Amino acid sequence: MLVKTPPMGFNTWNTFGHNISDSVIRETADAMVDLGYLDAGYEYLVIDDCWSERDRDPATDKIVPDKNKFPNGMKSVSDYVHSKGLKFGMYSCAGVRTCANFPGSFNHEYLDAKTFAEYGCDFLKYDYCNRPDVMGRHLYYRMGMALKNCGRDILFSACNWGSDNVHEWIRSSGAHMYRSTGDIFDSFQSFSDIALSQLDKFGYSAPGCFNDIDMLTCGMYNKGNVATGGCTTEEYIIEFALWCMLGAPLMLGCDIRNQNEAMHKLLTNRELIRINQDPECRPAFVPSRSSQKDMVLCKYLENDEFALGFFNLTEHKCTMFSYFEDIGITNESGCKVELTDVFTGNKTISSEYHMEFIEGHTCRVYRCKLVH
Amino acid sequence: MLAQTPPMGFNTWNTFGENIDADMIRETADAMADLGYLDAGYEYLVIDDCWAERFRDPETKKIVPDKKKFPDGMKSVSDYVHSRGLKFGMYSCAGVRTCAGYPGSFDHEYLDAETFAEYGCDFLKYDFCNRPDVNGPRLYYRMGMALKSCGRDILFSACNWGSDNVHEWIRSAGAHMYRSTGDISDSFTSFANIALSQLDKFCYSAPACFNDIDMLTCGMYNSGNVATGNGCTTEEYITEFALWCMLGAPLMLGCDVRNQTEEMHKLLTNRELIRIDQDPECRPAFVPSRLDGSKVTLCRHLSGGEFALGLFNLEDHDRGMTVFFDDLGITSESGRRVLATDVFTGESEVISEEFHWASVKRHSCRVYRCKLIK
Repeated sequence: MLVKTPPMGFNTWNTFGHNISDSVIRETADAMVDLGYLDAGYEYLVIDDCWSERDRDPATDKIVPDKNKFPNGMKSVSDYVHSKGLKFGMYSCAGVRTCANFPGSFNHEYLDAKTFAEYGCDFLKYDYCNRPDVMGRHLYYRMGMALKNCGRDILFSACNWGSDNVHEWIRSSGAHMYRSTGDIFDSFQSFSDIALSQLDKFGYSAPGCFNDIDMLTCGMYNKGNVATGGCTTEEYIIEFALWCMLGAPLMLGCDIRNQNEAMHKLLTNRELIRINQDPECRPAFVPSRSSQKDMVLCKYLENDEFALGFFNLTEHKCTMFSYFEDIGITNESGCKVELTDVFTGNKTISSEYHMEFIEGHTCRVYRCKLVH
Repeated sequence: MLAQTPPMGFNTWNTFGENIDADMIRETADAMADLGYLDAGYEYLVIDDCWAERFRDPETKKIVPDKKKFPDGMKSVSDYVHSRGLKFGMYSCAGVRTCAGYPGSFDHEYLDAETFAEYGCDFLKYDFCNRPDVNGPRLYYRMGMALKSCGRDILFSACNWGSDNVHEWIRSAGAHMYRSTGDISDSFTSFANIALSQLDKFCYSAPACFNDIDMLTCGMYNSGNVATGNGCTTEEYITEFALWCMLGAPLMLGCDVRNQTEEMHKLLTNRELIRIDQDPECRPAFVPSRLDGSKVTLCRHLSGGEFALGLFNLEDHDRGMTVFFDDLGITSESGRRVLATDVFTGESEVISEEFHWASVKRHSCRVYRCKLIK
């Protein structure tokens, strides 16, 4: 199984935490399909922590789904998710207990991988809490090997929060995406710190194994399980645009059953998603002369196109430049740049540089190509 | 999209250096097509440095092919290479002059990219000599952007010898492979040191942009342009080729493919090793337990639930080598055993213990394709 572009989907954690149930999942599946999220590319519906009983079945040693939350078992939920054309994701942990203190997969990796395969699972998020003093990467090699041998293609979503220099070895374990930071919370500070912390690491994110900077908080507006103040709509636009420019996995964290029109439009913005899902999966780079707080990102796209993002992460209006020389476009080329705004569709042509004068906590993103 | 798996081909430098010409390229193209190299996956025929006149055309500013070496020009050579079902590669440099003192592409990136496109070029190796004091990565962004806009799909093979922490940024420059070390020469020490120096960097090597540890010296036997007086034994060349395959490195042949022994031909077209190198998942190999001297064990996840295991004894004495399956993620809870098939002999064995032990001769290796069975 080769994951060719950054995975896209929905995960229960940010909004629901432990308040998950059969009906929440089915309603979310309906919403993903009926409201156009699946069409936009979001295909995985992932149940995070808190789906099981507190203890394994004493006879079979298997993890048992919570009988109150999922009275019909997981296969029934999985079948429903599949019937909607979606893929089904679940969660476990490399330690003896999950982060919320349910059974973890330590020393049960092969049994659990088989159980997930029986559920018809297509995706496994694998957390890092409550583990014995074993070399961290071994725990991911274990589940990597177990998943490869469980008889089903399961996307392996490693989540060790960036420990043990994860980028140096995680691709070799069979993981298809890997969390590189601590958990996200619903605030501008949280998502911008997370994104900035990984700017120099996206050169290692590529087909087969992508750098995962956590589920999006867009659309949460200070409700749900990771609320810490919330963001403005304009700030959620920055968050989503950043994730897209960085080529990060797009896992929705809001309650997609109830989103306002602005948020729905943002999260299904075809132009931003097309940048995120570009087949070449080139990482963005920071052209030399911008700082981190007013940040320009450039990402080469397939064919002769590239994307330019201007992110004003300061609180003040400021002037931002992209010098085309810094992204490889020399005078000798005789070329100008045609920029198409991904939000408005407006086109402009610039030569030698492009300048923006934009408000604090806003961004501009352009799809660009060279013109003679 | 180019370079979904590590690029494979032939490059003139190791054997021919400056002694290249149209006949030699055509004969090499014939050999690649007729002797089964193309069938085995080697598709790029790359002309390295020394193909041009010493100066650009004063009017057009274009680089001019050497009139003696290539009397019919490069398009004619390119057409012949394409007629044999191969792809055609060329060479330039990010500085004002190439490493051998021919015109480089500095400040001519867009013109040269267009020229290479006119030649029908499919691959460009881009060297790093004789450059002004400019930010090194910038020079690769320039050619990256120039190639993207030249109107032809050209594989961009960056060659800055690992400078400027190349692995941190080169993928963003549009490169499809990148040299991470200094030049290889024809000796055991050279290839072993190059491979060992990159063991911890292969996790950054992935589809669309692969870590390139240089052209192979296999089959050179101390003749040609990068001879050091030592050369290697056949057994050592086997180790070199197997290492490159286990690491998922690009496979660019450097020997004279027109004249190889049967043994070397068999090695370089070994389907099982090449299948490991070209595995569609392109997972990097990892070193399961700590390095023990120069005894290197490599494990590499393959598609379809399989994995490859390589035992490389790079020491000067015969050694026993042990792999603990627990280090590969195969626990006793799994209840599985390992079925290992030797890629050289085709012999399979079921390993019931929790480890595998093998005696490996000096400078030699064992490579297995493995799967778990109940």
